Amino acid sequence: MQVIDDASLIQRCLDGDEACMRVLVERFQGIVFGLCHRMLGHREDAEDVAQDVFLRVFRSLHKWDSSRPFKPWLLTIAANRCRTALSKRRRVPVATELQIHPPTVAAELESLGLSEELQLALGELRDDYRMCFVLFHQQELSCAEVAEIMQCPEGTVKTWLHRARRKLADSLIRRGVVTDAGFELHRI
Amino acid sequence: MRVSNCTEFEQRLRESIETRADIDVAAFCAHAAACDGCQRLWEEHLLLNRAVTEWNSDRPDVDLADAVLAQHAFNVSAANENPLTPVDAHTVEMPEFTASAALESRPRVILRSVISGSAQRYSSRQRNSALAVLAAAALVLFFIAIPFNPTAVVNPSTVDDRLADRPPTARHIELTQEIAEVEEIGADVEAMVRDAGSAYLELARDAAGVFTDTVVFIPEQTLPTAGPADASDSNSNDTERSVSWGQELDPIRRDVGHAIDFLFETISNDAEPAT
Repeated sequence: MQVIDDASLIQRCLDGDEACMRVLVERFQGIVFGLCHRMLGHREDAEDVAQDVFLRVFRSLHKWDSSRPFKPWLLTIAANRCRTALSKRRRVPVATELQIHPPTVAAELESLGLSEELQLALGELRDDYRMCFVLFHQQELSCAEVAEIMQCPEGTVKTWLHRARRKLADSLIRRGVVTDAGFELHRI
Repeated sequence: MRVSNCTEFEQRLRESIETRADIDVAAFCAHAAACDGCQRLWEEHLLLNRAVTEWNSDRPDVDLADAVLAQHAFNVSAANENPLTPVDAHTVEMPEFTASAALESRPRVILRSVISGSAQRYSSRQRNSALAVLAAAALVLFFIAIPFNPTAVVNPSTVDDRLADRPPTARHIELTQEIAEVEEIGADVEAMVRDAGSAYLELARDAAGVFTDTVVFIPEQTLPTAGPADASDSNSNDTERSVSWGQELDPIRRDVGHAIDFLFETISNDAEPAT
């Protein structure tokens, strides 16, 4: 199938073309699942939520304004579903595995890379800080687009973004994550 | 471009983050080397940039197309078979065809709600809501019909007080007119009785006056009576005294008789029509 734009693809989906629906899912499942995975920090939960997001998209596809881009509308639904899943998770206590012999910090640093450390620190953030950070840095949206998705002022998004960066940096430094930033600084 | 102070350093760093604009690394490093606070900010910035770069490169693959389309087809068929049943009542998660072994261990077909169970629960709620609405309506009616007034309980109002605020009915107007007419008639009768009473009293007073005058001017005449032969001495003395008293009044009696005759003659003359 030749590459078609989002509007035409969605119009065909509205007409009931299953092939186009499959194309739509395959085109956007990466960003939807990525957002859900970074927000929830759990692969299976992220798959469930991402699946639910696409089902809701198909159900309310006729409400999409074709004069506006499709991706922010899709990410708004995904963000709302992530918020709902997080609130449900808070209501239901999650069983945690007991660690009889907790690993030392050094052993943990050896096993975890910088990406995992960041994801771990991300899980300690507030939901709105985390959502703002993920939409800005992972989805590479502008502050205005993030504000539209999170339905809040752009200034608030900027404040949340810098606070999230500061807290993540503090968390990484507190956990002893070694970086060669200092070497880079002295080298320059 | 050279960074002059810490405020400018922090502001330009924030702007570069928000706009994803390229920054003059040499200028930032030069200022950070001379300022401990800005050096910390710069190191944190570089650390996060490296972490985010690695974090973004670590994107897990996923294939949701089959599962989503199967679930969507199921929802559409369920909605067509039972159009009155909302789709949300049955949220069924279909098995994922390309799932890993870990995912297959989880049951994915979950019937989250049963129609009968949810309907029963809903009817119970509905009953409770209906009772609550009825109770609220009764309270509202009570407070509207009988406004709470403590003085009314201590000093209950009479029927006239309650009727005073109400507009008069046709029957009330008719009765009021009848009462007014009766009151007028009663006043006339009362005045007539009062006049009759006063006339009676006046007549009685006049009669008493005439009688008094008569007694004064016409004293009692006691004629001497012939007593029996065997009368006592005391009785003979009284009879003598009465005869003498009558004799003394003879001239007065004659004068009064003349006066009365004169009066009768005068009245009769006045009654005759003038010729």
